[in-house]
Amino acid sequence: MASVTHACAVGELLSAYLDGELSRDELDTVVSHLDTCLDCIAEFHELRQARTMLRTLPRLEVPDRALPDIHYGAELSAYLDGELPTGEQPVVFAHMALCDRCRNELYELDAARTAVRSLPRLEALLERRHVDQNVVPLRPKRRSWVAASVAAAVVVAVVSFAGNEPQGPVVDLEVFSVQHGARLSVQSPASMFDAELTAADVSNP
Amino acid sequence: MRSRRLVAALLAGLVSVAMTSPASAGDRETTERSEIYSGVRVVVSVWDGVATAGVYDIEHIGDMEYVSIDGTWSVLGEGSATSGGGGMALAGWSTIDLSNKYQVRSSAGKSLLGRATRLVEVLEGDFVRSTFRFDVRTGAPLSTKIYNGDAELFRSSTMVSFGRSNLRLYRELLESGTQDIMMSIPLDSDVLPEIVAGYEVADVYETKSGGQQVFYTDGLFSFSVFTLAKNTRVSELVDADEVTIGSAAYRRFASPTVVWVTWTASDVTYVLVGDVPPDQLEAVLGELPRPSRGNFLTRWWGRMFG
Repeated sequence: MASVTHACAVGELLSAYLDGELSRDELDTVVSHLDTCLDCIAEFHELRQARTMLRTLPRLEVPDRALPDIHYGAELSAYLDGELPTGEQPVVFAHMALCDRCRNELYELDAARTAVRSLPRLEALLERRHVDQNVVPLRPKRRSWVAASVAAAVVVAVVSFAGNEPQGPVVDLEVFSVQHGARLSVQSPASMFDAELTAADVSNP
Repeated sequence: MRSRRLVAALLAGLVSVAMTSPASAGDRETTERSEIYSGVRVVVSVWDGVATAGVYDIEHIGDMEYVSIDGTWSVLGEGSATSGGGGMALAGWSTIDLSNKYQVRSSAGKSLLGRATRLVEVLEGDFVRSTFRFDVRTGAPLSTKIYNGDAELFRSSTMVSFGRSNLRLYRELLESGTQDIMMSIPLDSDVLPEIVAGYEVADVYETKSGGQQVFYTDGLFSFSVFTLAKNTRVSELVDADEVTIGSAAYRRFASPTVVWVTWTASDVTYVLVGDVPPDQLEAVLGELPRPSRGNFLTRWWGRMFG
């Protein structure tokens, strides 16, 4: 099959042209050639489009305070209570997405509050004490508090256990990339289409 | 683990490269390509409307390719991969033909970078899944476009400069030291299936961490699934975006050329690494073990804080 591909020598200069790296003579050659060669014009626009796309990629704007090297500590309690200044709340929220340390701290803080909320109400105990004041208990007061403490400890233990599963070893992402890359290397595009490219070789000596 | 450390295994690769060099290519009538070239490749991929891009220095000699980006480099080829942190080579592999799933048509392409090209289109039924424009003389893929299931461009790879190799690859190869040899092992079919959304298991290898690497391919795209001990954390994936794919939650990190996904199901943590388009990734994940839903508090936390 006869080949009808277009292969101008000027095409090799287009990349350098976009980089402003051509000599005066080369520049004249390229500019005049681009006036006449439709294939090179198409190629030039494709190259320029690829570069423009690269330059116009969106950039992620992250406030400085959201970066993981700053930690919130004491302010986490205020965050949970919704008591931070209006502008600060979303910054802390964004920080949580990046910072394991603060996220775990917040999680533990919230779990502790949940445990506290599950304790028996103090008022109820006091009322009962008032009603039963004429009865002499075998072990006054102490049993209730021990039971409450045990209950609280159990709740805290359950919450902590359920919320924080033991974390395993850390493996570097590169390990998987390298091993996958090794296998992928025998499946290169050129090897996939060897028959099609061999046919092209024959028709384009 | 049955891997063993070998010194200077890369020399074998070097010999093989020399055997496919232009000096011997003249003896063959059908393969006239001299696969030596270098250049700069720009790769852009779009995941959920967000583009990631990379500019890669490429140097290709025979079956070996040197790739460098932002000061880090790797050498890939003949079942081996070497980077600054060491290397590994795989002991054997099998081939899956893409014609099981795709049709291929080729024609003379328009020139790119002043080079005559061969246009190869890969069709999935009537749908053009990908197009390649190969440099006729070297076989270099000067331009590659991959389309998502909705026909939107998902990945574009374009050489923006192209020329002869400067043989830096040879230097890196000679300096790269030792490699681990990873042995083929049988697939544990209780953990992973043999066919996933049209992708077949081509090979299974052991990993340094004691798990498995199961390499799936449909002849065009491919991915590896690594099995790890439960709750193993992968450095860059710890803080990766949590995404919902097919109503299940995964952690996903995308680079211009590959995507990583991790999740835990039962007592196994999985890491998927591959170049599959988003629509096929969703189909694949739907047929792999589903992520565990986590305990009540984890789900509550997710609802409260996203």
